[in-house]
Amino acid sequence: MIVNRRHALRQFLFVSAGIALIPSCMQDKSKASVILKNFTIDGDQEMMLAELSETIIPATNSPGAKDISAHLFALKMLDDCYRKEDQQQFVKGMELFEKNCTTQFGSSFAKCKREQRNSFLQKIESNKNSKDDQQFFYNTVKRLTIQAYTSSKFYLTNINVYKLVPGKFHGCAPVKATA
Amino acid sequence: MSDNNTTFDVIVIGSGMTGGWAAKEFCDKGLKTLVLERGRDVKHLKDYPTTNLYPWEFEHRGQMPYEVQQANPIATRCYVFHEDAAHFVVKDNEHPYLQEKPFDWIRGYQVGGKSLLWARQTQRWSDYDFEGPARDGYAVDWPVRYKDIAPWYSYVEKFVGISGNKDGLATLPDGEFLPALEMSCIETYFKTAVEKNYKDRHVIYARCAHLTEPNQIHLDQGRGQCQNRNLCQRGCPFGGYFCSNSSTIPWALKTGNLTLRPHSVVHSIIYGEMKGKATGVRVIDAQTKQVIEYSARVIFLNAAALNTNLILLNSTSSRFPHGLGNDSGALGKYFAFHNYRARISAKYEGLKENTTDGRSPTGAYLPRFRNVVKQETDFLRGYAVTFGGGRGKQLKYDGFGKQLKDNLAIKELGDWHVGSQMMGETIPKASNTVSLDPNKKDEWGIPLLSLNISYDDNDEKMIRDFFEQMTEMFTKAGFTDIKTNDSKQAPGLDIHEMGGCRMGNEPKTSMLNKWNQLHACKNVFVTDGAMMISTSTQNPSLTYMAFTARAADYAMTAMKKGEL
Repeated sequence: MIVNRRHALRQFLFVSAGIALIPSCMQDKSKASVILKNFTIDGDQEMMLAELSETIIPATNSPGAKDISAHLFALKMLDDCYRKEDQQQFVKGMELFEKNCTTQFGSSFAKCKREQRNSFLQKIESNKNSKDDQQFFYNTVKRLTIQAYTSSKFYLTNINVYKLVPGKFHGCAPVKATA
Repeated sequence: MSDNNTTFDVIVIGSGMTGGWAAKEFCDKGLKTLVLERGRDVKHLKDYPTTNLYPWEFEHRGQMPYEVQQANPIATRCYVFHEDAAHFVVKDNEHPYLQEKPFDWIRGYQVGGKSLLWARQTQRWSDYDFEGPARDGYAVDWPVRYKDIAPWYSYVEKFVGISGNKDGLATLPDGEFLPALEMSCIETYFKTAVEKNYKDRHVIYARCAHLTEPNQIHLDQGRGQCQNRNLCQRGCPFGGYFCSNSSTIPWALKTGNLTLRPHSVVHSIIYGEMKGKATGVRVIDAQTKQVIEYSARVIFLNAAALNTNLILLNSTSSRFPHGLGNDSGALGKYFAFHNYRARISAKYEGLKENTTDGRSPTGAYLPRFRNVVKQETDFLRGYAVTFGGGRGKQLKYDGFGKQLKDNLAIKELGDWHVGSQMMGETIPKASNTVSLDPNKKDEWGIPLLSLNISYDDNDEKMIRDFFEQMTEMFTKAGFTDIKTNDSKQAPGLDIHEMGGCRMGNEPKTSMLNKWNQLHACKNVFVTDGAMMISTSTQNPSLTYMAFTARAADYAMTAMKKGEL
């Protein structure tokens, strides 16, 4: 029995290795690393979202959006907690965002230089109250990136410390002692 | 305890706030007691799956998925229906009901019921509350006064553990208190401002069911000191607040006299025509749908106000064709609740040097100050008011990149934000009814409850008065940016539904006598919210518990004398 299992395992490994060797250019589009229930994105879009959220909250001398996988949290929230109309507008806005970026800089957001990304986002930020799809997309990613960051383990244990068990209440503490 | 035993001294229907108390009282005195609970068992510590989770450990950071919200519009409106406690809230399709007028019926079908989820506020009633109906004639006179119930308040308070100050107010009698926590600077400031400007208005530390300094009786329950987590709705790993699960139920189990039967939907109370009293309870097993009958000398009905009405209405016999004990026709009528629609918020720019540190499980409280001694407004009765406030970090969300990240890390605190909510008394009206639908039934074959309950003009006037009075008090306190809000929420979301099986001196106009016995069927007692004649303004659980312990004591004395 053991021998048979080993044999099966070896075969499985060969097969997997074979799949891994299929060149990515043979697939139409790169696959996203996450499976969503209510809308789909491809691997390029996932990478773009990672770069976008990292541009919103970059790693400095402390972790940024990528380190905490903020874009995956954003996708999870969008997929599970948003209305169908919002998901559709998000996807439309994402496509528009990429199209506009490519028109302006000749390459997708993920492949843009940092200065290009910044100037692209600055323009969108200056248009904050616009109701168009690109703005909806950007505002949504930004909001969810901030939520991912401010509710992350890193943030709540280092920046704004959350105590599960405070064990006390002082009704009138000097501000300095708590800062 | 044999599983096949179907005969007990006492049957208690419901294991929540009052069912737990009835069970504890009877088991302590050696009576074999069966507690029937329609939901699943929830064991203290063991069945609190989210209790120790950090915010980042929740998949959606607490938010309920869109599909769940769409499928459960009623539960979604409840303030605890989030990822950390949604498993303790009944989903909309689990037990449907009919709304002749909008009513949000929030339920907790599990051992412990809603005691796991309550707001833990425990203010006593005074005679100003008990005498309200007698004074203005709306509803019948309470058959008890404060002096009758005061010793029972003390009795339950000692066991529950209530944190509070002796405030010496006639409107809100003092009790048996564990030490109070500190009031916050803003609460103390507002207290001073209000008491300087109004001689009959007070701001106190809101008494709450938290063990700020446990006594031996609390340690004996296996409970410990409150650790200020303010995550009570998840179930407390310290037993820091009172709920049936951490207190009365395990206490009763320890006596060996309690049989706890979860998954037991009560169909009806069985009336023995020959004996002229109730003989037992007909149960439908929630899972197998098997019908089982249990018998006992005494039955305590503690299913929570609406389900208590449902069970009595469904307990028909040739003696009681309109529901058990319903000779008066009062059953299912005079239903009431608390008006929680109105809120007010503001800012305060002073007290910049101070803030709060840690978390308080309670806040400040303004006992009722309208129409207390005499009728003085164009509306009846009055309202109590919560007050609280705090300072948050002033995070700025502009821009992106390093600037945004730095802004998310600032430590500076903003102004104090303060807020109050009205807790208004509603007038029980004959037209506010609960009844059984003649056709529709639930999956256990029990008729659906149909609710016809609404606000009235008195409630609207009271809301206007709250806005006026609070705006004036906030202005006098120097608060700015004052905003009022009427949530227009439906009745029920206050989760203080009361009445339908009211007490009273007269069997012609009420269901229960002064000992909470059905006038017409003396071995059935109702001691949950259904018993209420009027609602006053206080959070009602403490009062229910006191009436339950008192009724259980009366029942045991009567059983000993052979009267029951």
